[in-house]
Amino acid sequence: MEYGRLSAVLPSDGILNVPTEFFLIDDLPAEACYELRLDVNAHCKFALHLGRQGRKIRRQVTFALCGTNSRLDAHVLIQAATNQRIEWQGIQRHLVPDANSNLLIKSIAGAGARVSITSKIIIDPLAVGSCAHFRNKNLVISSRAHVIARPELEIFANDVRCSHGAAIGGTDPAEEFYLRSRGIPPPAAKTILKRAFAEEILRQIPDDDQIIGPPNKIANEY
Amino acid sequence: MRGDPPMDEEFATPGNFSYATEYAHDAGRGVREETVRYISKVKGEPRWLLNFRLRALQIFETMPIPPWIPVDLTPLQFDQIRCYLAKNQESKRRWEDVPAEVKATFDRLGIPENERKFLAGVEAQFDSEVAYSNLRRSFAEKGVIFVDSTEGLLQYESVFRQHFGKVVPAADNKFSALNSAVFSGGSFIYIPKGTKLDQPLQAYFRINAEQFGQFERTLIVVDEDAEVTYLEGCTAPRFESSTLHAAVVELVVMPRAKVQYITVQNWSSNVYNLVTKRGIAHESAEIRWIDCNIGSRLTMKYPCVVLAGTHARGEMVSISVAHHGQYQDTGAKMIHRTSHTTSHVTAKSISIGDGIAAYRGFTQAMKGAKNCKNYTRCDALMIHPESVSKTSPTLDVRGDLSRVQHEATVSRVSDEQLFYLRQRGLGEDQAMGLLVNGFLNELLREFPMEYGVELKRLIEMEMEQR
Repeated sequence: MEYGRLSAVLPSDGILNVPTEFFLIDDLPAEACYELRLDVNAHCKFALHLGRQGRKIRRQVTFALCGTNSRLDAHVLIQAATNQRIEWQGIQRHLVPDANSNLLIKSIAGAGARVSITSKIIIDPLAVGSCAHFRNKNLVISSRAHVIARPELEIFANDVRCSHGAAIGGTDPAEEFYLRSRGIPPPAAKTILKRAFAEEILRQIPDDDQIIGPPNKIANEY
Repeated sequence: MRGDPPMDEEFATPGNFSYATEYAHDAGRGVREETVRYISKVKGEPRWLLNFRLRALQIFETMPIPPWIPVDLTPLQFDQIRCYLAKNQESKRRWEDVPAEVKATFDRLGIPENERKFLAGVEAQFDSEVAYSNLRRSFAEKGVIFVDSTEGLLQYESVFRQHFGKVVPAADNKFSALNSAVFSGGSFIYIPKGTKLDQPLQAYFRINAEQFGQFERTLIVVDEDAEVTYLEGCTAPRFESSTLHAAVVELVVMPRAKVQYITVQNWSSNVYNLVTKRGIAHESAEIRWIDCNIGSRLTMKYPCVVLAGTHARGEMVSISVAHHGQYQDTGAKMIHRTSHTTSHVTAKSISIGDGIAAYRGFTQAMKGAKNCKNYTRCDALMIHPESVSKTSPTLDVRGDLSRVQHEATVSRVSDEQLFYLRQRGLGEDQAMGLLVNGFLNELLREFPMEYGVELKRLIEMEMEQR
């Protein structure tokens, strides 16, 4: 599988055709808008970590599955620290039959942060046999954080398998209690839980200090 | 809602019966100041209510149609709609006193029969006004009030005025403003403290006239520790021109009280059903909306629960069936205003032919509200390749102590399931009806048994027409 950074491979019109197996990492600046088009049999792995690009971060991303048997596996981690504003607007668009897309977005919202996630699955009438899934999990770690999730579906063909799910919540008190009962102080327990939450995405991303920093550092930022 | 009634010669198809009738009061066409003044004068309303109506009319005229409405509303022609048609101003207490042709309509819907069998009280609205209203004596003696909204306003003004327009203000949306300006009919219910009605109250809303707008207004106040179940059924004949149903329902549920509000609508395909329903649940109170939407050209209905007291609970159970050319835009709103509140939404939709079934939801945990819990589940079944399903919920959470979850799936009836049933001797329609009823069965059980059985039959009929 080829490996690339969007800042290096994205053309000026913001549309990138993904021809074969490709692992893309979004390392664009704070505000960016682009479209990834998957051709026939293309397999795109996509990873994005949002949170270090600035105070206000915004992404508008379209994943267009234009080729049959194309496949997308996308992972996005959003870490909104104190008073940060992060907005994600994504579309998984299936235009042809038998394509497959999976998108997982996890966010962690700190004090005064605002995270807004809108993600839509669109299945065109010709895209029979499509399989599209979107999952969104949001961890709120401050009473002053604000999270808005809008998972949307627009299905225009019936022979498809589609689902979406979104959840917003704080850390599980039972898990915190478990760690504290084993002698781990409350801040460290919270950090462990945050790191565990982010782990599912972090393990998809190559360990690259410039892009994401080591996992320990991410989890200890709050 | 009665199954297979004997057909009279003058009625062409089941559920599609209508006939010309003479009205004593007609406000004419369009929504204007004269219309509002006419309605208010005919009903003998106090000055404050006329002013309320006129303010609402101003809001209606200035407020734009929301841009997100999914269907073109041009066929509605607000300047051609008749807002008020009534035969009389007083609802009858005895079935024998109801005018013959109105009685014929409701006889066919099974109202007197159902009243005898399992209802605590019945109200039947024909176009703009309630033709029949009756409450069992035993409940009336306990202080239960179940009258039409005009009677409620005139006879119980202190209670009515205290809550009227507070849950759904006129400015809430364009159609609540329209309703506030020209409303007539609907129910006013008051359940006193500690009174638990073991039998439901029921209202039937019947549109008979062409190019008509039905704007009933229902206000239900349930005092502390009281309980009530309210059922409403809606039908209309099929016309070439469009008909509007823009109702407003307000529920005020005091501490520890419970309300179950059940709607079964089977509108004809020319009806635009744009309804605003909202309830306020105070401390430890419970509101359950149970909704079945079949028929209509467009239904936009998002029952809402404002969880205003701690430990309040809201629930929404929704079934919608979108047939050819129909748009069912339904959903639920759960507003968690205080701590320790819970809500649950289950929605199932079926799209047949090019029908569009959409779920639009909103769940909010407001600032300072702690330990709020919500779970929403939407399942959609698409019968044909051209069927459409949409889901667009919004989850809005402030703070780290609440949990809100949403899940949705879209699927179709698989060939394997159909093959299995057909192999066992069922025809394709029967097999499809069985599978669809299986998909809905979990929710159909939430309806009273009599309704559940009728709904199953109704859905089977819808599947036969596919």
